Parts: sequence; structure tokens; C-alpha cells
Amino acid sequence: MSRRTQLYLLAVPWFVLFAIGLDFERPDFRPYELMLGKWPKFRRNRTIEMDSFGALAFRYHVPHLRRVVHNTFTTDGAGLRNPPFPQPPPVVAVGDSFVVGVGVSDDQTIPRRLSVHLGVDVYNYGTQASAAPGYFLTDPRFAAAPPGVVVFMPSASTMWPIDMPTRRDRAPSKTPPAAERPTSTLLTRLWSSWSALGAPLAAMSNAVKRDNGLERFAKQTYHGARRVVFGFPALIDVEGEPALVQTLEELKMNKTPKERNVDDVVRTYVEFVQANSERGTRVLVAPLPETGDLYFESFPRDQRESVVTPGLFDQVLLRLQETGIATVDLREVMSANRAPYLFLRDDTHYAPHAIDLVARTLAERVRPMLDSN
Amino acid sequence: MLFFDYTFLFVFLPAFLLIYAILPTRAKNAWILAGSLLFYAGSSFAFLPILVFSITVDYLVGRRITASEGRGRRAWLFVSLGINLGLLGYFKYVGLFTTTLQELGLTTIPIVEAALPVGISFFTFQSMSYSIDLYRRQIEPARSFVDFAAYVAMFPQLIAGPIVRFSQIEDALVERDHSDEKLVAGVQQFILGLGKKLLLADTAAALASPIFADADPTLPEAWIAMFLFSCQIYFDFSGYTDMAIGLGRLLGFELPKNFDSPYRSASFSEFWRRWHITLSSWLRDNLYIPLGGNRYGPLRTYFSLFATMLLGGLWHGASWTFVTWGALHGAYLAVERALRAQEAPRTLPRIALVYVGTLIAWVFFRHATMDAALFWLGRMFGGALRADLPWELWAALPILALSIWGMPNTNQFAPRLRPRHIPALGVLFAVSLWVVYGRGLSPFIYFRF
Repeated sequence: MSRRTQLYLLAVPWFVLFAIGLDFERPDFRPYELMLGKWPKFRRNRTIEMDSFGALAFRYHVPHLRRVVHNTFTTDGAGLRNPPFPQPPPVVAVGDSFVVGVGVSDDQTIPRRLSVHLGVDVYNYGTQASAAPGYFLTDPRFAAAPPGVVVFMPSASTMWPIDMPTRRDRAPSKTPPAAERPTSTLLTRLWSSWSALGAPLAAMSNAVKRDNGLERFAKQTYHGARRVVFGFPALIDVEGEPALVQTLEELKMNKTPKERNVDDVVRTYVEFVQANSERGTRVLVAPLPETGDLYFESFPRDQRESVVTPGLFDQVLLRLQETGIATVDLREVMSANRAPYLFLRDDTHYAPHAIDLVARTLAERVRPMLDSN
Repeated sequence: MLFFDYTFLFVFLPAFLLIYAILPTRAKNAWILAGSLLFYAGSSFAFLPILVFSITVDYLVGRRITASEGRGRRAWLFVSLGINLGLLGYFKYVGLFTTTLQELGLTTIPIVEAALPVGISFFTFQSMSYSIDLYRRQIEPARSFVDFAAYVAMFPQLIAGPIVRFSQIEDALVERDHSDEKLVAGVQQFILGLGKKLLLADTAAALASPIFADADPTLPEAWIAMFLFSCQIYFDFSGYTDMAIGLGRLLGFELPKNFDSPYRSASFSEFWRRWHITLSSWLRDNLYIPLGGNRYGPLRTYFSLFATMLLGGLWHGASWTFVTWGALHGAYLAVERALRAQEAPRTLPRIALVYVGTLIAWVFFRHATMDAALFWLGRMFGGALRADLPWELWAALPILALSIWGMPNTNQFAPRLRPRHIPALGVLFAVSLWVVYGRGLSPFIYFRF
């Protein structure tokens, strides 16, 4: 066989995979994916209304476990999930996809339910737990009219140190006179203009990666094969019905305090509270529990035995309480109301009734904070 | 952009090679440069000017070095060294420097955290070696800016090496062949590297991660996790190198090999002749020998070995854990030299001893903080004597061990491939991509250096 023939033969699998990859299609199983704009925010001023299902059903490719629901997802001019507000609301909910309200409709998100229970507007500042606080502090709208209360809700798996903006990058609480305004140098302006030029390239590359048929095909068949060969550790039984979850192994890897550096997590949380305090805003920190925190005993025995109960949640909460920061341990009320199942059965996020429970509990803590302001 | 990224494999590479194939010879280097800059932009667009700056400075300084004599020549060399080390120092070490000063209470300077341009450790070293080799009159200057820029920026080796010396490819920059034989060899090496990275390294990583995440590992678990990490880092980095060498062949270049079964070494000096060979030889020629090497007595030799490895450790990352890793290897080499153990015959116990010493050093490489590394080391020598691990892990251990100690490495294996192996390579390619796209992309470890 000549070298040229060998080359042609080697090109065959490449062409086959290339052909599979050409089936471009957006991963439109839920509005969250369709809305993703310039990370970590969403596309601005959009409304998507569609039938969607959970990320775990997509990830593991288990069609019969999909729970299709009809969702509406609306974003404002800042690329966050809010209706238009005439003025900045007095309460802001900062956090990750749990605050965004993945898997539920606009009127079922934590900020919206909190708003209903409090009777005041609540702004949804949900993007990504380690980035959202920084974005919030640099947002000129809330610098000009700081809210009375910020509820910061990192979920256990996104409890990472916050990317805190420098004092200079934080939006000033009132516009300083021109002479005092921090001015960017020619170099920094050039640098940011240059960096912006790369955005189309990155967007194009991301679009190709996210939407190609090869990656989609591989994900679905890979998890399908794993399910057949190794069983399905991500499937638990709750109240006689199946529920897809992140495995304890995955949760443990997400949460281990050793890898995460609790000191940095707590230090940046304290800095965030202090930065808000300087603007006259009070902060309530309410970490959001996940399946492993609430349904530990429903996971397969072999997983439970090999897993040490994650300590990050406890450590962060305890350390914050020691520094005098207002916190809520939502595990208490959620553990007491575990039925019906608090999570979406094909996703990692909360079901609407769990969201309402969380919002009601938070409202009880936020109301006195608002009144005392 | 990773070599197994969909964008790279199915968009960038075919488009690049198609145009490369139809361009006349005189335009090929310019196209390599353009494609490489686009490749870099896809990975780290904001820092593209840093790469272009480094290339331009070293090209211009190289011309001055060639044209100068005596002190002027030396001064231009220091300009090149100063600029490259300055770039590396600022982007890579300013964070460690300011953090350490603050922790020691020596200053109130705020901690500066500069984003790290991708591949800066590699392209600055490569660029610097050109100036040094010119200064030593070991090479002739590049015939044009495009040739020099293509040499530094060539995308197969731009991000994570191997660190190529100008003398190794200067002839190929002028004239090289693109035979079918070379193309087939390139594709084969690329696929073998892909399989090594995605099937062996990533599997070892997936098996090791839960153990490393365990807050209470036992003694056997701690050792097994380190064994898995040693497999991960070896297959990851050598797999990347194989892919780089394979891609280099598609462009007509023969990049130097970087690994030669390092865990089969019977001494630490042999280990460093087999592990990250291009960095080791760079450090030997440009650090160890200038520091005195073995020319000024034993004490100076030990010092040179220790200092070289310490700085080699620091090159890997701005962290005290990397410094400790380098220091440990420096100490190993110095002790070995003092005992003349590097000259002893190859025996199984000696190979085992060197491997265990390497594993202990990897503990500092693997962990982000000294506390975490010392905790792990404590468990390796004082944990409970039981192991509660899944059967997949037990099944993977002999396969990984066989891949390291029982099989020929890719450099030995690739030339033995025959036409009948082509379908198997096609399957390996498809399965590797299926696994990586199904499981999720995992970057190369050495991308962060």
C-alpha cells in the first residue's frame, strides 16, 4: 500500500467525523443556553418562550427522564433576567444559575418570589456566583442608587472566591468631579480596544464548538454507553420516582474545602459585605444547598460510604457567622420540607415550590433589614 | 485552541493545510507565521502583541549581536535577556513576588495579579536561546524576519513546546521536504499523541481526582493517587509533544523529541535526560554550564545542579510548591553526584528508587499549596492501611503500568507501524475524539506554564 493510499485511508475517519460535525444546531433544550451572551451575562432585551427540559437529561441523554415544561425567560438592558424596572429596586439578589432561575419561568425565580413575599421590587443579579458580586459592585446603576439590602446566594458548588473588583474599578457612589474621576491612560485604552477586537474571533470559535453535531453526538452516545456498561450512579429514587442528580462524587469534587481554599472564599465574601456596607447596603448571605446536602441518604450506598460529607457549606457559614455577617442556613427549612422533592427531576436546580420556600424564608430575614434601613 | 478542539481539528487545521499545500515554497514560511498568529489569537488574543513584541525585539537584537563585537555584543545580549526575562518576570512572577513580600510584612505594595499570556514560558525561552546562540557564534542569523518569526511562533510548538533551538530547524526553514512518507508519519504520531492524552492521561486524571478530593485519604490511596498523577502528567505532556511533532512533520519540520520513557531511569540524571529533554538541555547549556557546571570542584557542581533545578522549578510556575519540586530534584541530583550513584549499573531496585523519589517530588507539583502538599506527603507515610477504591481503578492500574514500563514509547513504536495498522489508527482517532467530546475537554497540564 503506497503512502498516498495510507493518507487517504487515514482521512476517511476524519471526513466521517467532519460530516457528523456539520450538523450545526444550537443546544436549544432550554432558554438558558439560547440566552447566553457575552459571558457571564445574557443577551440583552430578549424574551424566549419555549418548552424546555433539564440539563442532566440532556447531558446523560435519557429521553424518557426528560420533564418538559413551558418556560419564559426575559432579560433587561443589562443582560440580566428582569422585567424593566422604572428605578433600581431596593433589594438585589446576587448569585448564580439558582438565582437566575434555570428551569423555571420568569415569575417563578427566587428574586421574583422574594419580591412577591416582600411586596417590593427585587432585582435579579444572577449570572455566575464568583463573578456576579464583582459585576454588581461595578454597576453604575446601583452605585448611584444603592439598594437597601443585597441577598448573596452562592450555591454550594459555586462557592468559590469572588473575583472582587479593585476599589478603583468599583463604580463610585456618586459621580465625582471630572478632576477626581479616575482617568484611564492611553495604554489601558489601547489595551482594552485591542482586547475588544478579539471578541468576534472568540464568539465564532465558541459558536462552532457549542453547536456542532460531533460534540453533541459524542456526549449523548458516551453517556449512553457509560449508562449501559457502568450503570447509572446519577439516578436516585425519591418518593418512588426517579430523579437525575450530580453524583456524590461530582458534588464532592465540586465542594471539597481543601481544594477550594475556604480562607479565600470567606475573605472575599467579607470584602463584598464591607464594600456594600460602605455604600450603606446591608448584605444577607444565604448559601443554597444542593441535592447532596438535602438527599444524601437517597444516593447509592457504595457512593455514600466512600464519601465524606462535604464540609465546605458548614465551614463557610460558620466562619461568616463568626465575623458577624448576617447569614441564613437554608438547609434547616428545606430539610424540614423535603417532600415533595425540592429539585427538578432532570436538572440540578430547584423546583418552583422549593424556590417559593426559599423566597419565603429569605423574606422573613430581609423584611426587618429593610425596615431598619 | 487545543489540538483536539473541534475548531482546531475540523476548521483551522484543514483550512491551514489546504492553503499551505498550494502556496509556492517561498510563501510557505509567511503562511506558517500568519496561521500561527491566528492560532495564538484564538487562544490568547489580548496577548498577541506580547508575542509579536518578543519576536521583533529578538530579531532586531539578533542582528545587532551579529554586527557587534566585544562589549557591544555582550550589551545587546543583555538587552535580549533583560526584555525576555522582564516579560516573563512581570507576567509570571509579579504575583508571587508581591504576595510573598506582603506575607513577610516587608511592604505594603498591593498584590499585583497579572494574567499569564499563553505559552510565554516557551516562546521567551526559545526566543532567548536564539540571541544566546548568536552571541556564542553557534548559529548564523535568520535570513529574514519571516523565517525567524515562523521559527518562534510556529503553532505546533508555540504553546507548550518542545523548546526548539534555531540550529535544529534553521536548514528546514530554508528548504524542507513534504513527502508522503513524512505526512503519514506526522499523522500517525499525531494520532498516537492524541490517544495518549485523551485515553491514558485523562483516564488517569479522572481516576485520581476523587482520591485527591478526599479529605481523608489512606496510605495506599495516597500512593495510588500519586502513581495516577505521574501517569497523567507523563502521558499528558508527552502526548502533547507527540501531537506537536506530528503537526511539525505535516509542515515539513522534524521537531526534537521531548520524552524517552523517563520512568525507566535508573538515576535522576538519567531521568532529566529523558524527561522534558528540550527544557533540560536548555537549562544545562544556558544555566548549569554558565553557573560553573562541573568545572570548579564538587561543591560548585552541587551548587550549580541545585540552583539550576531550583530555577527550573520556578520556571514551571510562580508558586513555592514548584520551587520545592525543583529544589527536591536539585537535591536528588547533588546527592547522586556526591555518591557517584549516576554511574552505577541499571538494576530494578535503582529504577524503583528513582521512580519513588520522582513520585515524592510530584506531590509538590500536584498540589496548589504547601499545606496541601505536606498533608498529602503525611498520608503517604502515615495514613491508614486500607484502600476503598472502585474496581475500574484497580483494572486501570496494570494497564497504565504496562504502558509505562512494559511497552515501547511512541518514538520507538511509531516507526514500527505498518500499512495494516492504518485502520487501527483510524479507530484510535475516532475513539479518542468520541471520549474527549463525550466526557468534556480537558486542557493540557503544560498549557499553564
